[in-house]
Amino acid sequence: MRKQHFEILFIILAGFSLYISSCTPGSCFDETEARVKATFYSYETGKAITADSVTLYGVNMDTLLIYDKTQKLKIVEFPLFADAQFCRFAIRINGITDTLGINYNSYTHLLSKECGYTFYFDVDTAFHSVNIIDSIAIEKKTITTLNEENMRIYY
Amino acid sequence: MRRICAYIISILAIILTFSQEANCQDTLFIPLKIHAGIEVAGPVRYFINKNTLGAEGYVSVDLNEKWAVALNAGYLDYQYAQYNYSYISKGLFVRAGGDFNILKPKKSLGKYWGGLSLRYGLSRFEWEVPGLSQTNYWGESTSSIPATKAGDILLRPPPA
Repeated sequence: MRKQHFEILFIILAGFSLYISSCTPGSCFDETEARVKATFYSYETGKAITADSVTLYGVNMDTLLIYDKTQKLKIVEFPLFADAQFCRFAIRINGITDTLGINYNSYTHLLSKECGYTFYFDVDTAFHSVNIIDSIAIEKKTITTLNEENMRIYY
Repeated sequence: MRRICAYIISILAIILTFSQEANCQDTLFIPLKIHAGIEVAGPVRYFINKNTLGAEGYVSVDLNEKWAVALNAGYLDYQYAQYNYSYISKGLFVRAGGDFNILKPKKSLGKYWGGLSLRYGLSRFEWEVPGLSQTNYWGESTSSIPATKAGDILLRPPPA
């Protein structure tokens, strides 16, 4: 009788142990890609403005548009390639096209167990042609998944 | 006169006998033991979930009926894979400390234990990310993090 009690207790404890140690993979609800977030500014007034129409794509990748004549855009996001150290974009603002390049270094960053790893970037320099863009200011060099202003585009 | 003396001696003998019996009832003999064991949940878990292998052993030595010193030592091998990365961590650990039995000796009788334990642990783990990847507008980027001992500072290269 006593042995039977011991066996029942052992099974209960083993089952409880498995229960508390079991887990199911969680889901990721966070942003997982770090992009350069750029805001438009008027070079005349220095105030934030909205672009009437924006088209954006990578140089030599004009068949795959990131933005396609998107209207009333306040913030534009530039995706970077972690396996390279620079990216070049063609950006058309209100019908006028400029080339914009970004030099950077990438490194891995663990977001969470569920969301896994992503790549963060440290922007070194940014350069551009001068058709509609007047100048570019880098506000925050570290590019993360946080919603923060990294770059200002004055036009 | 002779008979009276014999009677008195008999009474003393009876009193002494009862006295000794009373002392025996209040004394508990609790043998001090050395306990040893292995954790069974770790291997059982491994058969259900191959991602985690844990093995742990345990030794404790009774200092008295209340206190025991204990030493746990084990090995843990953990693997995890999510949609864009895989992770491996493995290493050894030890925990040393004491066990305090809050059961009264009359209840525990040297057989039952219920109480508090305090442990201080040390470990030496190594972790590694054999592969991670991310796909975006430009395509797929891949990388990995080589085996690194926990506690080592992982420095990323400074911006050029």
